[in-house]
Amino acid sequence: MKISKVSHFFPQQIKKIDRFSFENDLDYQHHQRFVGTQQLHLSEIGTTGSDLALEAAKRLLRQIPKHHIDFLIFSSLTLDYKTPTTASVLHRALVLKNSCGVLDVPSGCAAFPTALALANGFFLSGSAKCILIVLGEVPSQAVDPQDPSLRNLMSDAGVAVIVEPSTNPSHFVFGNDGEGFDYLKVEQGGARFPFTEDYLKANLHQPQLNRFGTIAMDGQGILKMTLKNIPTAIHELLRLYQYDLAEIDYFLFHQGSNILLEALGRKMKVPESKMLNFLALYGNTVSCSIPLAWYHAEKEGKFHSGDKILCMGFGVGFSWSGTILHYP
Amino acid sequence: MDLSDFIHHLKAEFEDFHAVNLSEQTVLNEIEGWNSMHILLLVAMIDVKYNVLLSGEDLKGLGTVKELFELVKHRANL
Repeated sequence: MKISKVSHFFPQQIKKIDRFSFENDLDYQHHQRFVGTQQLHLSEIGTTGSDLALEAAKRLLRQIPKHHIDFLIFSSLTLDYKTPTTASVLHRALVLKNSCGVLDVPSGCAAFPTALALANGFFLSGSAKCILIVLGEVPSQAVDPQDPSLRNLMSDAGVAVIVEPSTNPSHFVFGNDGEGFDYLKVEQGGARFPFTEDYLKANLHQPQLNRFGTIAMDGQGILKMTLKNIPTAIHELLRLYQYDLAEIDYFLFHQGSNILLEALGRKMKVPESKMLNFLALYGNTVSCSIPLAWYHAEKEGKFHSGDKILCMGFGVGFSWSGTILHYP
Repeated sequence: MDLSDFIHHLKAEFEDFHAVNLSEQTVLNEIEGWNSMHILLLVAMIDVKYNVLLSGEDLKGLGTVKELFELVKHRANL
């Protein structure tokens, strides 16, 4: 399988993260080292993930005839409706052919490699030859403005990706560790914990939280889950492809934060030059982060034909998925 | 596992921020400017260097550097 085209779309508002975003120098130094964001893209209240994804997809569809798209996979943590799927909403908005299938993958930071795995399955079964994966995330609207660890991290984006079959066989790894269930979640708004009157009243001045719920994260727990599970998953992926770690040209991990990337890189003994990190520019955009980093690295001319790029998404659940892509 | 190596690794992690005269008697959460970021560094460093993953419970009410060293040493030998 190969990534043929990528496009993106950001909301207009940009929040600069600088010394004035913090109470003192030390906090700012900590942010630069551990988090790494220098700007965030913020969507307006009421904008949904699918709004951003739609714009990204429109840009992409200027480059490819619509009737080529056999399947649309949408990824976001903020779906438009309980039902139908948001992929269905996007299918309608993009006026895709009726024989193009639709599927939502609301799997958070692990969603992109999972979507690639699903696409690969459709290719192998002969059901599709060209698949549009669209991703849209508005996590900034689910962050409590008082939350010190998230308010300067989460950023909004839409990305669209065309994937097609290639001669390189694809392999995938997946996993979930229930120990990490509580470390990252949006508890309210689902069937288990519907929005209560108290919750809604408490957020009258932050209406976006009453729309999307509130993200809660235990950074230390996420770091522990990452170091516990992701190196093993990477080794399994290398085994499936029969590659040595040194043969991988780039490591494209979910852009969670500097500390996550640095800790993983050190544990895996990955040279810094092979670690892709675009947190400064894009922030943590949940499922958009891997294809967004792909887009940027490609634009910078980093990738060359035949390069092996190891992609690994991980987050809520605690769940993960990964694959190795060959640059066409 | 050697205590002086352990202190050396800790110093290497923290030197980016401010000079800390770390010793085995230093109480970690009394270090000037100590915050959750330091705990992330500790968790990552101890995993990379000693293959021991500490949890939030382990690190609650952190004591001295020596006590942390003993905890890691104990876990590493399990």
